[in-house]
Amino acid sequence: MVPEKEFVDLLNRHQNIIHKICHVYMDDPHDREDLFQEITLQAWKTFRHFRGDARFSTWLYRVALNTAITFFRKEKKKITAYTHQIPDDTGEPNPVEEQVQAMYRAISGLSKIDKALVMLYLEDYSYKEMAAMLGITVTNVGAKMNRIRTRLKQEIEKHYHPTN
Amino acid sequence: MELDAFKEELKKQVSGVEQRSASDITAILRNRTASLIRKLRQSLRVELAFTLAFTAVSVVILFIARNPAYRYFFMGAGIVSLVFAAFLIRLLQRADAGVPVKQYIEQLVVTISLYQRIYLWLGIALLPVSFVAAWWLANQDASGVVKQARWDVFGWLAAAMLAFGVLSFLFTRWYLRKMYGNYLDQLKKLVNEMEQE
Repeated sequence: MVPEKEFVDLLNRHQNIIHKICHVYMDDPHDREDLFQEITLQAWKTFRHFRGDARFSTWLYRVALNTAITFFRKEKKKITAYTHQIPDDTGEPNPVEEQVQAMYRAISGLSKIDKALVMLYLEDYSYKEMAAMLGITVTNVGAKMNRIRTRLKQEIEKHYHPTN
Repeated sequence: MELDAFKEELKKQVSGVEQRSASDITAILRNRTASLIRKLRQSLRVELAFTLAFTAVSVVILFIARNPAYRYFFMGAGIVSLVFAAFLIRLLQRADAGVPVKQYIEQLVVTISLYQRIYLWLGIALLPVSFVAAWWLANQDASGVVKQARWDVFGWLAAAMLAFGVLSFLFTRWYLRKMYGNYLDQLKKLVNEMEQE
């Protein structure tokens, strides 16, 4: 199979990985689009190194996280408000949606490395797999995850005020 | 809401995102990346092209010049260019994004730091070396093609070269810092953060 076609087929099947990372790392839809393109291009440029000894999804996760973590933009002058939009305002408060928004807000305040840990945790990777993917020790992953959980809990308690 | 409950919500949200078709993805592959690494690679490629062109010119002069002083000078310059070209190619081959995150960031830090250091110090070091070599070769020249260098102007030339060297050093250091400094600092912070428990 032609490498480009093979790559496009594989990426097409696993594109949700990139979408998830873009959602967690970028608030602005334009920035998300830029990051999607950047990850796709980096994956294509690195595809020749993919030897198939790991799952494509795991390899794509590594490339996507590496790209998202090292993707710095010049700070925008305007304050970028949190833009994960709540769906149509029907007048009825939606507690689940509010909690999701609070969680997004809390995650967006985390560092890029912590976001990577959260992403991998959300994808059901074990601490051992997370450690291998990030290149740190399992103990370090455990310590960081405990700290992240505590921080997220505090942030949500601080900012989430259910509307009755 | 705990992380586990959020996991399910995130899945739902992402499943609602418009999926790209294979042709959309193929179109993206024709684009250029916007990353700083691409800019670094691009400048490395331009420098490599110039270095190889200079090496080729040096080789041609080496063979056609009748004056030994020119031949020795361009032979030295050609060797330095070749070594620099090999270094640039090695830098271009670095940074595989498929490796673990910490390793990838460290690769970037090493690549950018090395590039900055070599760019700055090679440029500065070659200036006096070329000057002294040219002076010495001019004085060694017995063919009469190159006039015997006059020692009374040596001091003035050396002072001018020193001033140029200092200015060039300050400018290059400022330029490299402006181009890559902030990015490098941010990458180093990421590595430190990863190492802390």
